[in-house]
Amino acid sequence: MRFTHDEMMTVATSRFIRDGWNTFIGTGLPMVAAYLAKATHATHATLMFESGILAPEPRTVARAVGDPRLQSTARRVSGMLDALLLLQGGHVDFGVLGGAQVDRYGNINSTAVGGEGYHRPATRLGGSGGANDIASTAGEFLIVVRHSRRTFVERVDHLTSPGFLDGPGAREAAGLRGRGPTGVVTDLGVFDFDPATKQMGVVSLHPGTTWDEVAAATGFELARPATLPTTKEPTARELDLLRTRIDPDGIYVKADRA
Amino acid sequence: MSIAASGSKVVDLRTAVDSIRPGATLSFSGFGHFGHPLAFVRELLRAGTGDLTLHAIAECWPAELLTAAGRVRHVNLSNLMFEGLGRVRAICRAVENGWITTDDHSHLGLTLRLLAAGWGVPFLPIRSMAGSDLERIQSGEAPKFARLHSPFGDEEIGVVSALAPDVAIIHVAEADEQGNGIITGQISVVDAQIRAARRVIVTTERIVAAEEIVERNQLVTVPGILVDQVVHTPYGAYPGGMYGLYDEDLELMGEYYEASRTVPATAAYLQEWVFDLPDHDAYLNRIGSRRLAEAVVDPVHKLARGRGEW
Repeated sequence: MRFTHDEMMTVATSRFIRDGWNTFIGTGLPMVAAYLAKATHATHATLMFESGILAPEPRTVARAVGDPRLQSTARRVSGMLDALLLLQGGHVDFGVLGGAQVDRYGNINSTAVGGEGYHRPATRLGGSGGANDIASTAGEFLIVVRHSRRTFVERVDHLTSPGFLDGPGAREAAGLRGRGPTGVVTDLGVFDFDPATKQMGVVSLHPGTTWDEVAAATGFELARPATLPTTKEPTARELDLLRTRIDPDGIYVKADRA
Repeated sequence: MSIAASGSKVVDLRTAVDSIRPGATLSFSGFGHFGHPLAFVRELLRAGTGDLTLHAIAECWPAELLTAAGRVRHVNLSNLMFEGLGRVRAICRAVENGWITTDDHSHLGLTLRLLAAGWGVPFLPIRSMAGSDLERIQSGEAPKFARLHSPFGDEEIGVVSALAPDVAIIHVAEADEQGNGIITGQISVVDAQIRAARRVIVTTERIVAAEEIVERNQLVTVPGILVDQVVHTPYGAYPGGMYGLYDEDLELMGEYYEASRTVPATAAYLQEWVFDLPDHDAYLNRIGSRRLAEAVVDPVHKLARGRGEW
């Protein structure tokens, strides 16, 4: 069965979500991935949102983390303090984060790009929101971004959310309790972090992707492994769930190959 | 509290707005496209009050509109964006051009700063922000983050400093004349904001009898003892929504978002939808009762029929 980059990314993301995990999530493709996980291998995963929405079972895909679709089907609705203190208290297993820039240690910038830096950037972005809290205190987190040299940079212009900071031991020295980023999913492949060096490495390339494409789209040195596994393709059932039940209008996950 | 506990705190919108002094620090309710006190914000824009500092956690619309009109000097923020749309362009433009200054936090960091003020303590411990540029870059009036050695064990812990706005402006679904307010749906950070602020202004969709509040007293998020003024503003969050009452008006919000691409178009939008209309009644008349009625949500799904789709 044919599938798109979006669909491959969504399915690869969903596979990181384990059954029973309390999963802190935002909108967009990661939310679709979380619905897919719940519909397949992680039926007992619980979704949580920074807005204070806990355990929603929405009928259609939500547009925002405060969306009525989430609130009207949740088991509990509170506020931001409640949600973020559940996170800080160690009750969240997993989070998914995006960003404008990511470096080899999984540090993320979602605040300011270019120009003269934070005080006078070329492009001001939304800022941390709950992302720094998730990166600091969730059990672990996954980075989901599109692959380009603009995104995968040698050094993030602003370190909004901590990955492994400047390498081994840095999270511990900063007092961060979460284990940090355990993976990266892009439209080109799946990546992880070396346990010793804390630097990003290749797990698998998506079907049809070449090493040269990945290297050309990465702004830092990425070690080429001896073998290059291919990411397991989406199954017919996963594609069917995405296309007919979870995001039939293609709001977040495009079904036609661009 | 300036008014006797038994007395009504109800004032008209202009009176409440006129109590905001130039140079004040403000914090607003709201999250995503819901629960922002936008009738108040439009009246504040008409009043011309400027030189404001915002403590902005999730109130993207108030922060954007006030900044677009040049009324903001500094923003202490954790996240400002339009969910489902994109960047808050007037704020981004103001930062990129050096027209306003900012100090960034995590959501928990800024919320705990307000809570520390509300709880009457100088700081609260926090497990995030450490090691990031949110710790390293401190550009607010006062330092926001420090590390302490725990007095109770051999560990270092981050702390954030107390931060109190002069005024919190909170939009609720229902309140009595003393400001005991019920919010339907998620409360964002209202619990922290109302405790931190030196003054609290409640704007409300409906003013209800005290008995109606007593009947549902477990749903009261805003205790009247913290509230100074109560203003009746039906559709006060429009063109945003109020959970359980009415949906956001995506067409009208989208109109602002398109206009925000350029400074002149933004100014024209504000002229048309704020300055050319004398007050909130005129605003609602301009929207029209048919469009307002269409925004009312289905009681089960909490969505308006035929609305709520991007």
